[in-house]
Order: sequence, then C-alpha cells, then structure tokens
Amino acid sequence: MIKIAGLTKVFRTEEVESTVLNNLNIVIKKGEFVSIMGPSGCGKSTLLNIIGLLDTPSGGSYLLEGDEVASLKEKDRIIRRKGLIGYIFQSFNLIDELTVYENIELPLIYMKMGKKERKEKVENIMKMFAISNRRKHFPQQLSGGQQQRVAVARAVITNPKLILADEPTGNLDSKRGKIVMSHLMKLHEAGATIIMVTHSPRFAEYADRRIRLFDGKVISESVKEALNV
Amino acid sequence: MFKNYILLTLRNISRNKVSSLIAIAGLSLGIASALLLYLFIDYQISFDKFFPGNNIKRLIVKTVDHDLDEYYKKEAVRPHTAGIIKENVPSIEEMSIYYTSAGTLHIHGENFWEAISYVDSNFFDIIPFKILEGKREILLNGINSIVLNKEIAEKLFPQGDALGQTAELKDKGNYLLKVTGIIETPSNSHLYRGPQVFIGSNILMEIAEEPLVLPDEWRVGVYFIPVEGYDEQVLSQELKNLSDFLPQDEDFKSVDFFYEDFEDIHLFSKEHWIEDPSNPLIMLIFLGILTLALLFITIINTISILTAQSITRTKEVGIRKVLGSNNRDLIFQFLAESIILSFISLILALLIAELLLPIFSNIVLVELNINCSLSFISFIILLTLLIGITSGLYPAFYLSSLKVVDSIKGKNLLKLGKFRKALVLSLFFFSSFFLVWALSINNEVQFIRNIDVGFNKENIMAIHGGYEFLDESNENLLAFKEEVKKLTGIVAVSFTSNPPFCYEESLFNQYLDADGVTKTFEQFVYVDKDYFELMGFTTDQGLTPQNNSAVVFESINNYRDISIGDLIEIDSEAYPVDSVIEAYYLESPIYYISKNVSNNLIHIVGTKNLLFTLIRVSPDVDINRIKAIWNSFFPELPFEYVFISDQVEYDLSPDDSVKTMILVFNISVYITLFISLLGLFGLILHTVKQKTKEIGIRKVMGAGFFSIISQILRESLSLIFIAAITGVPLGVYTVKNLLFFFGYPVLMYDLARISIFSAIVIISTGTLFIIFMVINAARSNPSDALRYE
Repeated sequence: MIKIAGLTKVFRTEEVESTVLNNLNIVIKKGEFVSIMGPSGCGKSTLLNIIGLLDTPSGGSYLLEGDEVASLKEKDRIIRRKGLIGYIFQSFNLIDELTVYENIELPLIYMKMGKKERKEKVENIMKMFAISNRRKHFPQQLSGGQQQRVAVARAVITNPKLILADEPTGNLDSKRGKIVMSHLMKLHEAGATIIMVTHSPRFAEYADRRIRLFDGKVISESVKEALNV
Repeated sequence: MFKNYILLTLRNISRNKVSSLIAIAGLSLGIASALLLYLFIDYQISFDKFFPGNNIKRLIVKTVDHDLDEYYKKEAVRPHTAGIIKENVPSIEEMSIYYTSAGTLHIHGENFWEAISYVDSNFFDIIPFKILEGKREILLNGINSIVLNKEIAEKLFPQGDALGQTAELKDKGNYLLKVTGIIETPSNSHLYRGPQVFIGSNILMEIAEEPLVLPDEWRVGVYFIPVEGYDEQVLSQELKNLSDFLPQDEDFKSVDFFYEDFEDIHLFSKEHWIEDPSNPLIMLIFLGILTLALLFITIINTISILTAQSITRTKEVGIRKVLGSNNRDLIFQFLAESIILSFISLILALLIAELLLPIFSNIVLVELNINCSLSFISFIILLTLLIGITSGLYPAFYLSSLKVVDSIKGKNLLKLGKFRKALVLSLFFFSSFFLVWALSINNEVQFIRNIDVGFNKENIMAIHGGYEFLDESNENLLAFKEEVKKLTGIVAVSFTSNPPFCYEESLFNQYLDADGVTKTFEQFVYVDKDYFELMGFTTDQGLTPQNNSAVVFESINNYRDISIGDLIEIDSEAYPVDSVIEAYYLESPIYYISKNVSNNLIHIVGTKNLLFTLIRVSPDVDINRIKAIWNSFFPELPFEYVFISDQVEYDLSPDDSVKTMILVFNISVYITLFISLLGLFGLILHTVKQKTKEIGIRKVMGAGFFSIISQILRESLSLIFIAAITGVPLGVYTVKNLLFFFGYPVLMYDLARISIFSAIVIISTGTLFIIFMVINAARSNPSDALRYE
C-alpha cells in the first residue's frame, strides 16, 4: 500500500537547516498494523504527516496505492486523502465549537454525503464507541478518554483504508489507552491498514511490525511473530 | 449547511465574548450611521421624482457679463418677454413663468408676510401637483385667484375652510383674491418654499409695470413641456436662437438659453455654484464620502477583530483540512460567519438608527423615516453583505492558505499579528485625519462668529417698510420718526435702504470719479442724516452730513484718491463727499476677509430709497408702543422687524445646510474615534492575552509593574504615534486645500495649535486606554499568569 524510497525532509530557517528524515525507505502492506517508535525529534510525526499527505517531503519517492504522491499539490493531496486516510492525534484535535455529533459528522460533510446517510453513520459509530449519550456535549465537557474515542470515531467514520495514529494513547492513562487500542485492533481486524506512532513499548506490541527511527533513519524493524518466539 | 454556519458563529461569539461584542458594537454603530446617512442621501435623490414619466423642463440662461464672468441662472427672462419664447420656440407645447418673492396678505384684518409664487394659469397643468381641494381646470383661471399649499392653508385659515375664502394681496395695488384650490407641494420638491401661495402671473405683470427698486435684477423662471415627439437637438437649437428674438440686455455680453429636465434640477442644475456649500450635489458627495469613510473604518475594525479571533482558530482550520475540507469550503465558512455577524449587527443597527432618527432628523432639518421600501431593504441587505464579505475576506483567505501542519501547531502567525497592527494603525491614522478636520472647521466657525463687524450691533431694530418708503416727499416718514423718538427707551431713529446684515443684495452702482470721466462700480447705501449717530460713528469734526452728500469709507483711499469735497456722480446727480469714516461691515465679512477684498462703501445721505426704519432702543423698550405708532402711520404695512444683532449672528453662522454638514461631520469624527478605540481595545485585548504567559515569566524573573506596562505601551503606542504623525499633517494639508467646500475661507490662524492638539488627543487617548487595559495583566499574580496557558 505504501512504498517509501529515499525519502528526506529538511526544515530550513534563516540560519539553520535540519534534516529530519534522511534517505528513509519503508514498505507497508495493505492491512498491516505498523508501529513507529523512536526518541523525540527523530522524525516520527514528520513521517506520519508525509504519509498522511499533510506535508510534502523534500526529496525521495512516496508511492501510495501505486501512485507517486510525493510531489502532489495541496489541492490534489486534499482530494487524494479524502475518505482514504483517517487521522488520530495525541491531543485529539477535536473542534471546540462543535459537539461530539458534529465533530464526528464533519468528514462526511466534506465528502458531500447526504444528511440522512450521515446521520445513520454517525449514530452507528457513536454506538460502536459508546459515546451516544455524549452526542450534544462539547469536547471540553468530555474526559480525555472520551475525547480520544470521539477522535477515533471521527477518524474511522469514512471507513478509511489507512489509519494514521500519532501517539493516540499519549494523553491517556493505561486503562483508557487500552480501550483505544482495542478499538484500533478491531479496525485492523476489519482490514484497515494502521500506522501508529507511539512512545509506549506496551502499545507498540499490538502492531504486526515495529519500526524504530533514530535521527531520521530506520535503525531497526521487528515483527510480532519474531517477538513472540 | 447554512444552519451550521449560524450555529458556529453563535458559538464563536459566545467563546470570544468580549472581542465579538467589540466587533458587533463597531459594526452596529457603523451600519447605523451609514443607514441614517443613506436615508438623508435617499431623500436628496428623491427630489422631484413624484411625476413619473413627466417631460417637464426648466429654462436656464447662461449670461456672460462684461468682465467675462459666466453665470447660470434659472431666472431666465424678464416677465414681459416670456411670451416671445413661446412664439419662437415651436418645440414648446405649454409653458408658464414662475417667480417667487414675498408679499403681504391681508386676511380677516390681519397681515401676513408670506412667500408668493407668481405663475401662469396653466402652471398646474405643467407641474401636476396633487390637488387636495378645488378643481384643476379652474385653479388659476379666474383673474383674481389664489392657490394655497396645505401648509399655508392651515396657517392662514386654521378653521380648515380655506377654499372659497378671500385674501387681499397688498403690493403696488390691492388685489382681492379668491382661494380656488389647495394643493400638496411635497417637501422634496425644488419648488417647495414651506407655506406658499400661488397667484396668477397677470397680477405680476401689473405690478411689474410700476417702477421697481431693482428692475435689472428682476427676471422670472420658465417651466415648459415640449411638444410630443420633440427632437432634443431641435429644441436646443431653437433655444440657442432665442436670444436673437429677445430684447438686447445691456448688462451682459452674451446670453444663451438651455433647458434642464425637471428631475435633474435639484441635484444637477447648472445654476448650482460648485463651491457653494448649500449645493445639494456637493452636500450629497460630501455625505457619500463620509458614509464610505465610516463604513471603511467599520470594516477595518471588524477585519482587525476577526483576524484576532482567527489566530485562535488556526488549529480548527488545520483539523478541518485534515478531515477533508478544501480551501474553498474554509473560505465559505469564514465568509459566512462574518456575514452572519454583520447581519446580527444589522438588527442592532436598525434599533440604534430608529432611536437616533428623531435626533438626526432635527440635525438635517428633514423629517426622515425608516420605511420598508424595496430600495431601503436592498440597500441594507447589500450593505450588510458587503461589510460581511469585505470584513471576512482577509481572515478567510489567510487562514485557508495556511499549511495543515503549521496551522495544527499554531505556527506562522507572525504575518497575521503585523497585519492587525497595520489595521489599528490605519484606524488611528483616519481618526487623526478626521480630528484635524473637525477641529479646523469648528475653529473657523468660531473665528468667523467672533469677527468685529465695526459697529455696535446691539439693540438695533430694523423694520421693513413698503414701497411708499421710496417716496422721498413722504412726510409721513418724518412724522413717524419724531413720534417714535418721543417714546421712552428710544436712543435713535433712522432710515436706510440697506440695514446692516439684512439685505441679500447690496446696491452696486456706477459713479463718475472726480475727473468726471472714469466710471467705477462701487457699493452704495442710501441713508438719512441720523444714520451715523444711530450706528455710533463720529469723526474728529463730528459727523453731521447734510442731505445730498456722501460719506465714504477711508479704505476707499487705498486705491482711489477721494477727498472731502470731491463730487461723486450717480444717475446724473452729484454728491459732494462730506466725511470719511472707518470701515464697518454692511454684510457678511467672510467674502472680504477670505478673498482679501477691500470693503468699500459709499453712503448717499438724503431722502431716497429709504426702505427700512432703524431704531436703536434700550433693552427696556416696549416694542408694542412702537408697533402702535407704526400701525397708526402705516396701517397697510405689517409690522415686521428684526434685530440687527440676530442678523449678524445669523450671517456669521454657517448656513443651515453647512451647519448640518458640520454637525454630521463632527458626530462622524467622534464615531470614527470611538470605533478606532474599539479596534485598539481588540488589539490590546489580544496582545495581553497572548502575553499573559510572557508577563508571568517576566515577573518571575524580577520585572516590575512599570517595566511591564512600559513594554506593552512601547509596542502599541508606537502604532498610535505613527498614525498621529502621518494623519495630522495630511489632515492639515487637505484642510488647507479643501475647506472651501464648507463655504469657509481658510483662515489658518490656529492650524499649528490644532495640529498639536489633535496629535495630543490621539496619543493621550490611546495611552490612557492601553494603560487601563494592561494594568490588570501587569498586576496579576505571576502564578496565575503562568497557569493561564
């Protein structure tokens, strides 16, 4: 599903030039659950942003479902990611002015889906994530775990083939973190490709494959089976 | 979708209460001001539009005098020559003369001095005013008919039984007139004169046969309807040829005739002098510019506040983009929000406008109403849309252009902060600019009101006499004078042709210089011997000129050598100069001072042309006793008097229309300043919010109260300082070059003071405001400030 070759990302300011991703090569198959780990500043989130078409690389190739997307324009990236990619952030990134229902509904509105169909889908997913009773609440009225469940529900409502999760459990205690992970596992079992950035070795173990980054390079990879041996 | 936008806007208002309220307050005030100005502009535009599909024209004449000065006048022809026009312009189907003056109407034993319009019998066929009572066919068909408008009918016949009653016109003869109709003359008609009567032109012709005071000035207007299917070019050519058929006019080098469409007369008549402040078009342009300026400032303020709010919404933009929103969706969303905000403000603005309407109507001297006409509704909707779109445009485009990753992290907002500063700077720039204007105008008005007129203007009554006062052998006058003198409280009594500050037209005449050859035009006034005593003038030798002598201003010697004993010849009569006195002003000094023109006057002492009685009284005089004597001597003449001091006050005050403009302008300036302060409020509010953490850290590091205040002051005050030092000089420059539009000479005695004062007002207002706003943040507990984020 994803084939990244020789990917680089360089951030330039007036005085400093820092290479965040350095000649990176990664292949991720369809339906795979991959976790990316590494110390702060190693380029995990930058990589996720590039994979999620939120940012562009400075060099290299990025094939998404066989198409080169590394140099797509912003407009084309929006079209490309709509409905294909779901995002889950560490800080939830819910819109404060929208209710739980409206936050979850938002991607469907942008997909120009009809009101009736939207309602049905949002109701179903709220049931699935056990947040139906919070439908009229605003994000600031929810606990962290509830907020992240809303964020996950919003990320998956369009049935994306690819789910990108940037430290989805980072702001949660272990109990609530487990709940979020169980939701991700269900999505994985349903066939979604998941790439998760995490600091937590425990949650990283949920993934089929773990990739370790350091200074913008892949320094190691390990698969679940190998770990189990 | 639209419902969602409304919901979002309301939630955003609730989340950013203070800044949203500032935006709404600024918008409401701006829109309300624009609405009121629009109502007045709409009223001005509505003039003469009440006869749809009419084809009425008015004749206008362009005269070029011997000094090659061009004038356009609606008083096109002498009354007796009006008939020649009809004969020589075949394109004219129907025409009527129109001449308005004032005269005495005697009704039920009472005299009324009223506006009288003399028109031909078919006038109401040409100008089809609505007839409230009477029949159109017979309105002025009778020889002695009189038509009243509604206002005068109510005044003269308060019982409401005006139709069929009689009124006696007292002019050169007595004319018994029967009321044959009551009509409605809309106030938004250029023909409207308030309470007004219409009398047949046949009477005017009779009056005109008599000698007149100013026969050369006496011309009448002409309204006409062209024949059906007329050719505009042919009509123009026929009018052009007209001067060949009319008697030669020695006053002018050339005379050309044109026509104007009825509906264009109020605003676009060639007669309006471009520099005349009462020119409605100038007033309209002025108010239009003012409306646009106010709206511009309102929009800047709203952009400033929306931009401030958008800084807190960058994360939302990022999330929306992540969730699939494209730039267009976001632009629509932010524009919709600013439009909805404008419509919320519109509701408030309508309430404000409704509340202020009576006060505004009083200022502009027109009864204005907020009506639900299509044009008004279209205007407010379009205006609100326009404000909403222009206010939301920058934040919408800026936010939508942010990179997803940057906006989620709240980066790249430096440009936005700079833009906001530029907006606040421009708000204060305009405030400084307008403040200079307001202060300059007020200063000029004050200066002119305090001009010394050169004589003691207090307690002088001027009573208008009738034409019989022209009769020099009228012994009644002298007897009247002696009788009045006997009353207690009478200081002096005199007669004159032109009381100071009372007569619109000065007497200009030509006289022969002492050499007996040189003809010179000079300003004349006819007075009796007691005039100089009444005015309080004396000379070293006393001032007791004899009849048939002249008294001149010494300023005349500035360019012409006139000595006592020299002869001044007017209309073949010679008058020796008896005395030379210091100049005083017989009329408004504005012209003389602004154009630096010498104020010359020649008094012809004698018994001629003494139209007015002047009485200097002591404050305790009983005016009723003067009236009783007047009525016994001149029972036919109404006892109409004015005090010269009131006339001076009136003349040295701006015209009503100019007063209106000044008042409206002053109010607008304060609104501008208020909106600018709102903008500053928004900026500081946001700066303080942004800097709360910084303030906390600085305090932890040891910064004191004053160092924190001064740091924020430095940043914000520099903006206001730049605004003041650019806005004030530009204001001064434009005032110097454009103030004449207000009908005022540019007397820049106090310009330096005004500049400094304006700059101080702007800077100190801004400083106090900033101190007031940051004082709480600077006083706050550092731990609170640090916890804030």
